[in-house]
Amino acid sequence: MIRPTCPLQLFGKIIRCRGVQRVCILMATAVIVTGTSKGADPDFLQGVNRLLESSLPVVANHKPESTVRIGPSSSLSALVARSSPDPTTDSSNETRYPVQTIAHEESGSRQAPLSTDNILNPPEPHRFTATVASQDDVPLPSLAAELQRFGGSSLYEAAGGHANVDFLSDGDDQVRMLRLPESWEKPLPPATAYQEFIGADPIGSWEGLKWFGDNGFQWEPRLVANGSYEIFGLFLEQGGIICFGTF
Amino acid sequence: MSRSHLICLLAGAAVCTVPWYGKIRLGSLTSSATAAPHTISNVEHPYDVNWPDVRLMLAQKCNACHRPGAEQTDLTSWEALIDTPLPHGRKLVVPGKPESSLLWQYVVWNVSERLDSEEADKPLMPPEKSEWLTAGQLEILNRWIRNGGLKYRLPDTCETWPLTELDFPSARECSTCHPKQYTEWSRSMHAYAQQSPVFEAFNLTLQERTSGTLGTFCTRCHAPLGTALGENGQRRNVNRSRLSMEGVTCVTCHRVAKSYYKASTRRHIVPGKLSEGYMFGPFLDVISVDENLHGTTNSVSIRSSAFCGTCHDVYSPEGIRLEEAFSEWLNSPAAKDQQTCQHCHMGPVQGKPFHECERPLGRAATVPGIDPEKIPLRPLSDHTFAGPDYSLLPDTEFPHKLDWMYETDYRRTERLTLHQKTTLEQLRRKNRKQLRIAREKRYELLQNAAEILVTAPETASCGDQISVRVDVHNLVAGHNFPTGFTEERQLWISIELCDEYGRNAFVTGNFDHNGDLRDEHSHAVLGGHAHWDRNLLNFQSKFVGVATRGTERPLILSVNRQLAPLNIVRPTPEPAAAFGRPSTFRISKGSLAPLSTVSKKYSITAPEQAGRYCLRVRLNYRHVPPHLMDKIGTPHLKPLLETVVIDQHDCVMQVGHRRGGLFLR
Repeated sequence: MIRPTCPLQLFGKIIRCRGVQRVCILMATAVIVTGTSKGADPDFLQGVNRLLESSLPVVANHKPESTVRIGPSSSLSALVARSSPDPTTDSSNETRYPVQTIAHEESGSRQAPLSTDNILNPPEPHRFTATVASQDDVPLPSLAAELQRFGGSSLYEAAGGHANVDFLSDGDDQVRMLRLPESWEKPLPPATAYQEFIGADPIGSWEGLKWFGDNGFQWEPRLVANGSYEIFGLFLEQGGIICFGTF
Repeated sequence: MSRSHLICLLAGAAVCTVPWYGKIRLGSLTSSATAAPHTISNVEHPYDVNWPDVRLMLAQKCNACHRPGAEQTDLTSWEALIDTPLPHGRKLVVPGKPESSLLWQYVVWNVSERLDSEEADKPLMPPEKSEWLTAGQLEILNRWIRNGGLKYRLPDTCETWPLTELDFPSARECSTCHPKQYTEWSRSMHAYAQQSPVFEAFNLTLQERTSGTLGTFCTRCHAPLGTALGENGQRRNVNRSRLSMEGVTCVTCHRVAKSYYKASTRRHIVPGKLSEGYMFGPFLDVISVDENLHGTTNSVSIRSSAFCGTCHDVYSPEGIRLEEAFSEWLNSPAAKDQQTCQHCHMGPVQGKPFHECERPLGRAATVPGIDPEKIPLRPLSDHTFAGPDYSLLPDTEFPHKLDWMYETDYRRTERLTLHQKTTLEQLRRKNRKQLRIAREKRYELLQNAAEILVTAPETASCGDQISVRVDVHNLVAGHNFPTGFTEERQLWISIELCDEYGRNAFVTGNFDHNGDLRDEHSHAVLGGHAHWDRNLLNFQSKFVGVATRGTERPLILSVNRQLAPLNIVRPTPEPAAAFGRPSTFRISKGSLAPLSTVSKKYSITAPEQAGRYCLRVRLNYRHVPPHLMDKIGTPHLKPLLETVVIDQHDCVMQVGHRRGGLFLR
């Protein structure tokens, strides 16, 4: 099923009617590489990047949590002393149990290949050094750091019913909405000329028509994008022969 | 600016009530103050609009001393405020004239810290600096007196008497006379129950998936007073009243007059002001040191495990047993020894059974104006109720929060007054101290919960198969470990065999790049980016749903949208009640039975390279896995998750070549 919201899809359909088995459309390189088109669909750019066999950078996940050891000391005390990364771990003479705080190593920016060597190991313990100090002597972290550590200050606005949205801010704050506000209404479908908008869900596959590569069948022939693009050439595969043509 | 704000500005009134914004004080729009959560439910009630706020204000700040029969002037009722005769013909409240009212003169102060103000820099009352009336509270009190000091609205057209916040004592009312119990409770997970951002997100996620038909199934345990006051299940925390946000508060246990069994918190909390009715306590020899204080009576059920089981044994209407802590206790060795929940969880050492006679003696109350010697010594209980959970809120929000922080945006410290800055720092230090105590008690509880015994060879030949045996022993006699909502509790064994350079020769129980165990819930495993951990020993229970073709699949959340498209039909149309559970859903329980031991043998291939290898075995615990945080929309809280190493065993293994009966290193 083709969602004819872009003339490029119609173009591909025309080519298919001429008996071309595999169609690939290259876009303007400037758009692909620099991404200067502000309204470009990320899925679209991702698909074109795959087409060019350039791996996308994997967004690193969160830094994993800390680990605290409360059990008895190990028989091999090869533990490295390090201060606790947890600012709430205030030390005092009231601490009765040996506590060791463990921090994870950072994961790499790319996905690890299938090897257990590249999987994060359980973090190394670090001995928690308890110092004798009263509560008043422990320095408080700054309020901004404390709120940032617990999800950001936008979550702790003293306003009832604002759904974590800073309506009264002067626009400087970058507020990230974690949930839809209670007043949210589903937006109306976009206005489309001559064609009915049938949704934004993934497009079904074309029978006998797919992108290049082994996984080309699962790449949608989807060229729905905002902005303007220029077609300067076509890759064609027909009968096992790859052809390249320009306009 | 939204439409509601425009309406407020155009109205020009002092206070404008907006349907979903609550009260917005227009005078504060240009300053940092934006709005304050209501202290009284937005229901039709017969009271003057300002009286409930005034009444609650006095109850929480004044009535511990200013009560009937005490030396101080009675401030506990409207009649006392209006009719009490004072020397020299003065009156507490002169309707229409706040400046002439003694009550106003006592509490007013220069709250804005303006240089041109004629008010004093500090009020005469209340004595506690953190309890001084805020700008909003002063405005409410002034408005109430100016409008005539009414109790009921005029004309009295309302004939209904709904339950409001006036009908249930707040924990802050109890704090003056019971500071020990209040302090312990305030750092507990009972006080945190509804405030938890994880619970709120979890509940709202399930509300979305069930089209709201989940109702108050979750919140009637976490916010029992809010549920009694009519708050629905999908109401956000910012829209709940402060009393509702106290969660499992004092009256949730001490105002229960009847015995219930497994009720999933379908139980009645007796309404009434503090001076009305009785507070139910555990002591048999009930005394009354002052007849004007609240009545006290003995409750047998409050000392039993069944009392805890009314909430800590949760089953859905379809018959799914979501939590079974009390049911597990019923069949446990602890029950045979007559050890109840209170023996282990309210004693001086968390997780260890203590009988009442072994607890520290002390006075259960310190009543202002009453000789302490009149109050008998009692074996006191710890109301911290340590469990495996902990607060994921900053030190400004939990355990305590000041009144002015509900009115003023405390994040912008440059706009705070000197009083606000001072009390904010004091609050943060106080909260961090309480959180630290709660953390130590949590570690204490987990340390007493389980242990491991590791059997491993000291030497091994290169390339041979060696066997490492790990015995996990549950030290808890009263219930499984983990227990409660075991579908999110992770208790697992991690093993590392590494050389002197830290390179792993064998590893299990480690994390993927999201911090998840490499099991069927790991996105990395499902996506082919990490190996499935086939040696993983995890005692976490799993939700299991029946797929459309009859096969089963593990689920992360208990409500699966894909498998229940007709979720608005609740309960299910199938004869689930007859069989006790629906046919498409079950829980694969993996927790350790009380005092039981589970053993596992790990077959490890010894490394080909000879040398000294370190074998490290750990028993780890984590209360929520990261993938659950992703599912419920709180990924920003994942860095706050903590893995607790309950027990650890380290040993050295010498790997070498064996030739002719000789072991060569």
